[in-house]
Amino acid sequence: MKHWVLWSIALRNVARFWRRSLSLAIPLFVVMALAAGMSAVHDGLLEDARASAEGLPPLTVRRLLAGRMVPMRPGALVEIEGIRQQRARIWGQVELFTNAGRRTCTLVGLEGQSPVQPIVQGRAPGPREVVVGKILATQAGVRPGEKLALIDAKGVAAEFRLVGLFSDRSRLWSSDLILTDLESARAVLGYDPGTCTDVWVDADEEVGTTIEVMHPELTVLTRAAQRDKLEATYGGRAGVFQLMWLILLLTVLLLAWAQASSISLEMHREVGVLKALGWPTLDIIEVKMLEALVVGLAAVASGVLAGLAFVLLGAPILRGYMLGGTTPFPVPCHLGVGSLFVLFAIGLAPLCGATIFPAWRLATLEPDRAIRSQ
Amino acid sequence: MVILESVSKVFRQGREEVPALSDVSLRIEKGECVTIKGPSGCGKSTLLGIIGTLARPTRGEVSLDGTRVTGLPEHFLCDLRRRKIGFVFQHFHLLRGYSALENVGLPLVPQGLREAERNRRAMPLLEAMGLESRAHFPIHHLSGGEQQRVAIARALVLSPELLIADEPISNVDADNAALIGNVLAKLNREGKTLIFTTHIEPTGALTPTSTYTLAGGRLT
Repeated sequence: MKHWVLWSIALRNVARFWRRSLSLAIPLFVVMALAAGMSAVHDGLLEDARASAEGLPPLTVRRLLAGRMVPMRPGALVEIEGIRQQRARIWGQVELFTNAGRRTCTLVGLEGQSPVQPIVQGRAPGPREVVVGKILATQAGVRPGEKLALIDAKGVAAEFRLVGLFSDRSRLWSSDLILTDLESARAVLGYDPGTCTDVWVDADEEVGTTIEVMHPELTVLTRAAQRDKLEATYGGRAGVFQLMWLILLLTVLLLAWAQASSISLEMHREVGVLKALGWPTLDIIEVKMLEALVVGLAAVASGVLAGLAFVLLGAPILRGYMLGGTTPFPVPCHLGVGSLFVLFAIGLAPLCGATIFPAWRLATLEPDRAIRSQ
Repeated sequence: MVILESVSKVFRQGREEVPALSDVSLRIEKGECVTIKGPSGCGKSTLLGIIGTLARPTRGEVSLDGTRVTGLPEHFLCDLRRRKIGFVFQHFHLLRGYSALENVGLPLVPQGLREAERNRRAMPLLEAMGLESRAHFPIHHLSGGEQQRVAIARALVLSPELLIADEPISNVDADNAALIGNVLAKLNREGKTLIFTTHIEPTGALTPTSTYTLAGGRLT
């Protein structure tokens, strides 16, 4: 019963001293909205990187010359044991023309029938046919059955029919990849007959070592290595977010310090008087902590929701700063449980600490000293 | 019964020591009405603070109802204040933002009483102070005299045996001084021990049984 009474007093105090509550809640709300928005984008990028890695082959074999990738012949791998399947792959950048305009995409041609991304509508592409991601189709304004134009290596437009769509689980692939058959990709990208960009290999990781030993001119990338590379790339992009995180953390600490300072001026008399009236120290601390907790929880929760809503709306104004001004990549939004916990911890812990510590310090003084020391 | 034995109080301001009370001894029996007079800054508030367990003496002993309180830990003193002592501060020290009724009910919170019950107990005291029409006013909307009466009501809400009041009649107009004097006199007649400071002569019904003068930190 007593705790309920203390709770009700704390809640009433939050409303009663609404100016004081708002002066704390508004800056915290803004800071937490920004932090939540950045966390959602950061987590979304990493989530997308992981989803993108799922579409990668177990091993990717490529040929390097002077540190640069050069076309290779896939036949070199046929005699190596342990390879369950190998498929030549040709990929490169192409210009895509649609009714919605022009943009640069990645064209991938893979030997065999099954594409690298699961088709969710339509079928796998044949000659002069393509499959694109749902995001790219939406952005480019094309639907299955319609035609689109790619500019080939000679600068000539080549017409393709869109025959299917793949999922948008990986936003990176879904907004960038155009899948076609191997020969069509070879023709568009200007590869010589019998060559490819790299080879998609289904085999255990140890086979990669065998390939590199037998063919020193070849380099093998495992799926795990490619996933790490993707995550590092996204993490690098997210580096700016880490810096902003640091700034936001400092802002929260400054807020907490301001809270502690204002408390030390305002709370002296209140705590001294309550002690003089016979309030136990713990009751005083409980009320003060609850006041901070209520304001902090409301500000952090609404800030996180506002931040998520901002990102879900496409992060207007800040989108260019977050992902680069020209990328068609949609702003990803995903907030993991860990990030949510960190957000609430960073928002609430300094605030509660900055409230409890001065309240405890004052409440352990003699009432007369607490009142006089204001 | 209140007993002070050779009580001294020294405040420290940096490296400097400022003596406020020197070797004060005092014995106040139950039901007495004691006034402590003296000029401003002579240590009256400090003395009341020590009797009311709001401050500890630098030297000497204080006993309340046979219990030596000087060395008791703070939570014991807190409990003691709640059970036995009502304190009226010179500057009222009412909490801003709260209504008069809420201020009077504040000492009841540690008992875990809900707001309705706190109000039920606080309202008769405000009525006795002639403040029933001001009960729900924010405290800063009341005059000095009204605030003084609210402070007295707050000190009485737990029915303490000992009421300590710091300048209860000095900072209010004549009408309020007479009203407060009558209230305090009535409480004393009902058996409560009353200790108050003043630098003016009490008038009307409020007649001290003992008067002490504090000068230079010493009691005469």
